[in-house]
Amino acid sequence: MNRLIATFRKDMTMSFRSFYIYIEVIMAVIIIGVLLFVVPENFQTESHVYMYANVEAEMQDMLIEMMNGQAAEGMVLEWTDSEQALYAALEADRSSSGVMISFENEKPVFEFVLQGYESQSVRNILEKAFLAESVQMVSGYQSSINLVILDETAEKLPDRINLLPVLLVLNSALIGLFIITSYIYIDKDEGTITAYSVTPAATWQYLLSKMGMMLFTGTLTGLLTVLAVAGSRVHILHFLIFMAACNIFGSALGLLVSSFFNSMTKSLGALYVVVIIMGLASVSYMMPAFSPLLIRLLPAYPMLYAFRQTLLSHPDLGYIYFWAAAFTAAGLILFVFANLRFSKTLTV
Amino acid sequence: MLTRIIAVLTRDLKSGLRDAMIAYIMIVPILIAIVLKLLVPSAGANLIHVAVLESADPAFISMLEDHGRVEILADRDALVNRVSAVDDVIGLIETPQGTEMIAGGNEQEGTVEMVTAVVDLWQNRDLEIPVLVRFSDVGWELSPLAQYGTSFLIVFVSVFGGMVVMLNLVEEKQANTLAAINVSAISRLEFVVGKGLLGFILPLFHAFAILLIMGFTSIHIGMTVVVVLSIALISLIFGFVIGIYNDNSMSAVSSMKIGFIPIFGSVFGAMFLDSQWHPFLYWSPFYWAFRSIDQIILQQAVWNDMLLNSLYILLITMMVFALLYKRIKRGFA
Repeated sequence: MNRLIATFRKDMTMSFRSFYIYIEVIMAVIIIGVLLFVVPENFQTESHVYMYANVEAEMQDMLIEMMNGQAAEGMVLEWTDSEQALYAALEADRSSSGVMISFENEKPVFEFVLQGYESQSVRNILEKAFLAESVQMVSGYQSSINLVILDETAEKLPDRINLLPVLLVLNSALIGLFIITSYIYIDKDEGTITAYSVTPAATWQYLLSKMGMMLFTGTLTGLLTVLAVAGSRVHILHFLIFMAACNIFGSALGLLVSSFFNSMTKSLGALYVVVIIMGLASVSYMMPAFSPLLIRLLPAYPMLYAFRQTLLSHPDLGYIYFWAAAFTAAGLILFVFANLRFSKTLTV
Repeated sequence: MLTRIIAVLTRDLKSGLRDAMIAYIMIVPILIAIVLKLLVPSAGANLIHVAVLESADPAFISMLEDHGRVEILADRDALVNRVSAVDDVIGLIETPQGTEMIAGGNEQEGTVEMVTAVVDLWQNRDLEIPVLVRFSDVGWELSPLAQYGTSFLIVFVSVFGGMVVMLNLVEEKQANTLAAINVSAISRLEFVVGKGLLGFILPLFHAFAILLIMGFTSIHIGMTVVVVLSIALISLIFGFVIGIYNDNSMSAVSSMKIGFIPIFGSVFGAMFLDSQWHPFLYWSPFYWAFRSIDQIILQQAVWNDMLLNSLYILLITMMVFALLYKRIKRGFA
């Protein structure tokens, strides 16, 4: 134990002497700055819908007034004076859509003019969402939907806070993925490992000390970020325990991956891919209706949601601690494998 | 001179191929592009994700499949468990009284409303609605995810590829190879140019591979070459700065993370900010690079704009280089 503590103290001293820890803190400060001063508390998405009413002149004003009054929040209706002008507007703004209104056999016709990349199911949903109001006015309409909400107190986080888990996972929880590799190569280059190999300390103590260093840095930067952005909203104890579990997992994975390579650049290349794959989970996190099994199986997926739980007023402790235990266990298993590999390769 | 530069390049290629380094750097961005290509059709294709029971009316299931993703589960418990999971899945159970819709309570705004509209119209499908709805489009099949994803990937991968090559050069400096160069027949400039060449060849290879994988086969090759070479120029400076300002690889890797901020900031700013805010991004070469690639993908690129954007990149890069020249020179001494 004393050897482990001595190695850890040496590693801490070394990181404080180099710029490393300060750079990580600067990175956390930049993230805090971006979240607080650039990212709005809630995103205001505006969608432009270009309209053209192909109706008689006397009806036009009434129609425009009626449609403008019915526009949903965040929807900006822009009226054009011809079909060609509507097409031109759609071609100039590829994120917009259009609606042409006309009459056919005294029935109003709403032609949605889309860009062309929208899937058939998106078109079907648009149609139903549009008709839902009209159908209620038809005689004989009946609705027999019984909505059951499983958690009436379910909380929706402001967009800015909701973004925090993505940055916490990539910058603090998985910090060890990148950095632990560089750490080991520095020791190789500087001959520390050669010196270490003639001391009574074991390889696992050397590796564990590195993981301790990552745990310290990840927790420090994570805590700084979450306290500055979420303040008292975060449940500190749950957050710290979960951050520690993810950090152990990330560092052990970093150790294992880097044990397969003999140069810093190659290891970084491999870890870069791991980080990008982990980053894919953020896509599903930001678009919760898009959750293919392959993405749900990525470790970063439960990480994101468990960090989110630590920010809710009533966190699901079962979820947080189940995954904390799972990541700690997985981290320990990975560590055992990494230790086995490094015991053979981390020599003079 | 040229022979010696090519000799350095060939040596690098040989040593890189021997330990699979070059092959690795070449293949990884392609794999990422393949993942993006696979993601594009499914991400955003479905606005709703519902779960129903095995016993549900096949016609009801088929109708739901026309509107989004449908999961079929064995019983009510399984359905409730699925809805309780962290993603947005709405459970639908047909009962003699109608349809029981089970929601978690924390779904994204609009999700429950969309599913309600679909079910409501299904229940009232025999009614004649006095409104006609039709769909048409302007034939633009390129989704924003494919468009922006490709542009982002090209900028990011070009910078990363070039940067790795330059970091290699710094590693060589640390291994004292540069000292050996002083006593060989090759000048330091020839050595640096020979090493840096790979930083231009790799991004070109990656950019065309990514464009091909993503299905952009009708792009203007000449303009693409000019733009990608200018991005590679940024990466050269990026790599130099990171390598020279950090005395060990650990802080170099940390700095690399900080270096990614202007890339992400410029690209996401160009994507999402209103054009009136774009002047705040003019300082960033990544902004100009992203704009150029985006125009190429949209097939709206013209030589004047491409050359002007590349000129901005060149000027910004030269300014950075001029500011850091003494430091870079000292770093290689």
